[in-house]
Amino acid sequence: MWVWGGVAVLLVALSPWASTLADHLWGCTFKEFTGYACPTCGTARAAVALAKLDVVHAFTSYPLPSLAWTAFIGGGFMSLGALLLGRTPIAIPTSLSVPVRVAIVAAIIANWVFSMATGV
Amino acid sequence: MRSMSALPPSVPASGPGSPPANTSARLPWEDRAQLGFFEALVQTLRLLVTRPGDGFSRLRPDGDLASPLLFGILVSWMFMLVSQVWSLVMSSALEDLFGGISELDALFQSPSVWGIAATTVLWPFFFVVVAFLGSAILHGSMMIVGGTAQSKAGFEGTLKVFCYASVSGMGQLIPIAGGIVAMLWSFILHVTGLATVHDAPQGRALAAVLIPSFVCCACAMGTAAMFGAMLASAFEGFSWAGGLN
Repeated sequence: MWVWGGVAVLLVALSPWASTLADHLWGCTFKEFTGYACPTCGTARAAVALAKLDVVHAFTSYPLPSLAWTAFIGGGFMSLGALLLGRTPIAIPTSLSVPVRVAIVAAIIANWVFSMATGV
Repeated sequence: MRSMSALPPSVPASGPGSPPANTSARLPWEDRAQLGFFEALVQTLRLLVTRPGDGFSRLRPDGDLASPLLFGILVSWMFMLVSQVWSLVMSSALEDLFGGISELDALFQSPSVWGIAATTVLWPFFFVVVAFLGSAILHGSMMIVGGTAQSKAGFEGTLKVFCYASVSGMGQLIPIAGGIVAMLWSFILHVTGLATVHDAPQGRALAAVLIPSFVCCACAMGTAAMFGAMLASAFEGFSWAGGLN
């Protein structure tokens, strides 16, 4: 999974420009219309906060997106490291059991409720 | 060199729940060492446009990601440039038509030369990042709806579908409505590709593509709704003889 590692390295390399890049993103139209956060509100802000190494703010304000970004970047580096060291790279599971699938959906909904409650 | 019309033998698209019908026929792009670069590119474009199910059933089962990524970069690059040219050509005409509506000004602004140059140079990096993130979201969605239970292709299969579905960028050749055509075409290609590659029922593939569209793209759909509302209000005060009133 050299692509995963490459993407993770590229995103980390771009992190000093995260704030500048984020300035060019448009606001959430769903929130503008309804006044409520959309299910993925905070994903870009979580990335910017993590890029600035403001880990506490990222995880307390945008928990699920921060967890997802951390897993994505961490997994990429672990995958790259495994390839460079000649070890077996991380295997992405082919399928998930029903309880895991239900847990993921519940986590997404819980994060959405949290975002709406905290006004993200 | 083979003639352009001489595609490899047709393979009936494998239906959900059935094994791929023919594993010997390969996607022309993955056979470009023998066919030649240009011939393989043209044949693959023809195949994915005319018989996408057949095309996706010919993907190599191994983990070769260089071929699909190269195809995706090349094809999306080509059509991105076309869309930039259309933007340059059409922006003045659209400005004449919608110039009176301040909310639409930003949407029809002509791209700057520097903007086009930067996009052109950075496109391969941008495509790889978007392809990987997009495939991760799609694959996660496929796993949530149980669409990968029979899959032998794994995440690599989803990434390949994402890359080869970039052929939908051909819709950008249509002026003004090209973006919408490309988006709908991409949607159909993703459903077909995911169902074929992961040997999943089309209903699950459809659900897997719809979930991110609804969950992740609520903002995009909100933008589309706002855009539609603005267009509708613009045309309420429009007369073909005199433009916007």
